[in-house]
Amino acid sequence: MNADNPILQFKDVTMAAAPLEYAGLNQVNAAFLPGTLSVIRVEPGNEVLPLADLAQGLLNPTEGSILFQGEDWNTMTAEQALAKRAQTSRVFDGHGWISNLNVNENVTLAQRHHTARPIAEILAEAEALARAFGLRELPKVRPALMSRQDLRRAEWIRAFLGQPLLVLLERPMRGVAREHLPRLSGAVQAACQRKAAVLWLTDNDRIEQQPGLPSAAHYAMRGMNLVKMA
Amino acid sequence: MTFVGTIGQSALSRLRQTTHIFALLGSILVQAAVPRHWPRTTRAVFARQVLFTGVEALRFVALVAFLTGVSVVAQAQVWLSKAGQSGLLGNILVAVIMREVAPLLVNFIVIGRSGTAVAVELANMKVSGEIKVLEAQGLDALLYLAIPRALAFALAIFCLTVWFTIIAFVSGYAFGILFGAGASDPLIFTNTILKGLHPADVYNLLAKTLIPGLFTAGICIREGLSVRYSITEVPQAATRAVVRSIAALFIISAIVSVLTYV
Repeated sequence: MNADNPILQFKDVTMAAAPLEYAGLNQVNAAFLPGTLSVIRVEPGNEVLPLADLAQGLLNPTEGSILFQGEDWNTMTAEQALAKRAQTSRVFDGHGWISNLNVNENVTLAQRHHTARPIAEILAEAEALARAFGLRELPKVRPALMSRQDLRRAEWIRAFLGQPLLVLLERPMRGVAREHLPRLSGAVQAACQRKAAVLWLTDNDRIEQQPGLPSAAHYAMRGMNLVKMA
Repeated sequence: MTFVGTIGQSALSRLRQTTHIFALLGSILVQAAVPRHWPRTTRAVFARQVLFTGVEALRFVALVAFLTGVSVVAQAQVWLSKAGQSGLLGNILVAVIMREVAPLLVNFIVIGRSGTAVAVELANMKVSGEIKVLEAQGLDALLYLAIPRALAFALAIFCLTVWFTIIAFVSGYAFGILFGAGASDPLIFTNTILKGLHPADVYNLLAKTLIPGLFTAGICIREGLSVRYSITEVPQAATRAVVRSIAALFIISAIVSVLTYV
């Protein structure tokens, strides 16, 4: 992979707001390179953005284009888009679980679906991540039976399992004690070292000063505009 | 809108729904024939659905079949032996139990037990954003949710109908003996049934189990996924799924009977 070619690129992306779902975007231009962390500060009252949905090709922008590994989501076939999405991962801003699967099944679902890796190998990696994030083990209960904090950390496991190319973290610290931030920072750093692009949407400015995080490109939402900070 | 306009709009709406169901089932069958659409996760969903719809219904279906056997087969044995027409027993039992009662009752049971469950499950998934969670991980909702459920429904209904038929005949034979009617030798009873069985009955059984099974699944999946925003839409979707599945069952059953036997 060429370090100069962005993994994800927004080109003049405009997205109309959906009042019940997310805030709008206006003429967003940004490129997210391999091995980089990009921190995007969201505004109070407009925390829920369509950025991650657009980045995964789940939404079509009103105007502009979004390229993943140089290919426009809009020009891909449905099957190609699914295969590309398998190289991304995400901590969801809202509900991010399949209710009728246990947490361990949820966490390993994409790996079991898209790869031929042995189940034992996938589970071993997930268990190691669970311990790295301060969980005693990979939870084996329904998502509804877990505390919000543990469930959020289980989402971290899913986001970093299988070495995805693009990691989308939508307010991943929401509901999680600050003492766990270094664990997440460590995983972000490891992802960047293996040349993944990480987008971290946050409403907490203290996260940006967290020691141990790799140097980051900083952005902030100003109304519907994404502004790159110095 | 005029009265005629309202009727026309309603007819067009039903036509659209029917077309959509056919399109969904067509996609399911075409996509299911591609081996790479069966990764281990989809196979697991299929196995789980066969377990819920088929295996877990075995005891209830057995109870219904037992009672049906007692009331239908025993009565047929008693009345035919009184009328001196015991030779017609096989034909009548095959016509009543195997051609009509078994497929209808098993389909009813599956619609009630599993059809509603699938409609409610998918509707809840849609409302709570779980379909998006699947798609965000690169899983196609049609491949992961619809195909295994539809094929599991068809397979489970076929197997449950065979199970129902066997239990109904056995229980009917046993009660016939208890009431002193019919042949006491089980081989003679079995032979009578087999003589009444024709190749058309096998096609009829396949058509009345596999086709309604696919339609029930297709309707329940469609109604479940048609929910948009609110949790209050879920019970409405489940009700629509049941009513439309039953309507489809009777229509298919009538068409198959006409095509097979008329």
